[in-house]
Amino acid sequence: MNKNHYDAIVVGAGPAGSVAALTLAKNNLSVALLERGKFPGSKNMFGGTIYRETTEKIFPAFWHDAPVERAVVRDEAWFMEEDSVVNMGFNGLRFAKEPYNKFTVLRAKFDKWMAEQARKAGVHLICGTLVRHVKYKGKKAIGVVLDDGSELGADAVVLAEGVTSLLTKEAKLRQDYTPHQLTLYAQEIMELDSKIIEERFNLEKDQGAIIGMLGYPTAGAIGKAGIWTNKNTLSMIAGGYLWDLMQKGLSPDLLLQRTKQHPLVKRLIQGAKVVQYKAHMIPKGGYKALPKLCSDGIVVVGDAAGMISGRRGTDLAMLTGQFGAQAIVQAKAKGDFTAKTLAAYANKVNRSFFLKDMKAGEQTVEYYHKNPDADYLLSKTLNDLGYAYFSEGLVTSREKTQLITNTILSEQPLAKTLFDLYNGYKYWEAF
Amino acid sequence: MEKYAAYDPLDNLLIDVDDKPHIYIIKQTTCGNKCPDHSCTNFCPSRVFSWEGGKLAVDYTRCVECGACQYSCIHKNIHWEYPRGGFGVVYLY
Repeated sequence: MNKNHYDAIVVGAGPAGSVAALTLAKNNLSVALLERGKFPGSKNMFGGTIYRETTEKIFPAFWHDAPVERAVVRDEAWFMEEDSVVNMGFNGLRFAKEPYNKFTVLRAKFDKWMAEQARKAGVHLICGTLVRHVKYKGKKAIGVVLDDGSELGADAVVLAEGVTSLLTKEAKLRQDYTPHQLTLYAQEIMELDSKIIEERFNLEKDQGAIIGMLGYPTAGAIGKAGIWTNKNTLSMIAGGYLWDLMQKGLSPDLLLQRTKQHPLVKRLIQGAKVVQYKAHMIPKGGYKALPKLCSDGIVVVGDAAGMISGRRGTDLAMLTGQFGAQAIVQAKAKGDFTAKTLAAYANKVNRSFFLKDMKAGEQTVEYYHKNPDADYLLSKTLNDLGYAYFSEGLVTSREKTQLITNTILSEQPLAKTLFDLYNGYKYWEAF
Repeated sequence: MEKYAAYDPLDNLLIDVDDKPHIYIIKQTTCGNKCPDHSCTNFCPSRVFSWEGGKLAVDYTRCVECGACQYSCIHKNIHWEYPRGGFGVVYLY
């Protein structure tokens, strides 16, 4: 079965890799998709949700066929303190029907499904195979070296290897990461009867909710937690910036255990049985830390290319996978796989909406590094206000207003609170 | 945070362990002499690292391949690579 030369080899069968492989195969290129896990999705983690609009561009009407869990109708942000929560959210029942907005999925099922679509389109999917090195002739990539020492040749190599991206680093397309450019999250997937999920989260059948949490979960570290409802499981994550975890001697799994103990979280997950633990990093270096997206015979896509903007990642992985593949299709037509031709990919990314977002969000990283306590202070202020506002005391309205004003001012200067509130909203983006 | 110490994340994890280690400490003396914090023993989400009898012990069989250790060791003293194809963590969900 194994050929030893392909038009293109794609390293990694996650969202970026499977979409790249599918796009190449649809354009009649011969493609090998190499996955180091036993099956696609077996090494992957996210919150999470996939976005309908992006996913549909690649897999039309995918929700009829793909293993989606629930259509998300509610998004909530919880600002948490020891025994209280200030809750901001949106319920949109329009999102419960076609064309939908986003879906919760489980990666071990969904990534497998995406890779299967690529396989059906003619991609040669090979699992349980690790690419150790890219092989070069001069400066041009001409194939890959597998961990058993064997080689596969190709005109172009797509690096869709995920955040750890050792090949991208080896190809000198990116600098070494620093702990300031990475976040580290732990996840538990917990089994719970679908009827109980619907009751507790106030959902109808097949409807889903997401709760993003900040403040209490990370105990003063910069980070977030969150819960996603699947069909008969809950996905829960917690974590934060690597440098901050290191400095405070914290681990993401301890933050997760801490969050699970919060009295208002506990009742949501009561009786749920943990069936899966995971941990994973997110490349959070932002625009400045982006690697070079192409070189002679190579394009880098997805997490390996640092394609994270706010909460969005899987959809940008799909888009960059598609863009990268399109550039290779053009290169094939021209018979020229040099960086100059493949730069069409980098140009397309540079013009994209998500790169504009990443540029605009450039202060995020800086903001959190300068204000590591921002989420915590914001959460504390909001919860103190909540108690002040809703407490029924024996004072006049005027006195109560004064009390609330004092609450705000006692934490920190008003201007900083307003600034934190604005930024907390603007930069609320961990997943 | 100590109250969670009894909890082991590996209780809910399938790892098909390769017989060849994919993580090692490059120079043990660096951990002993230059690194008072041993922060790897704290942040590692599956507790691969521990400080035992004046040595940094590495249990690669616990690794979930997040890859954080190689980038967070300030002395660049942790060698980490992927386990061979088909080995290592298998997420079923």
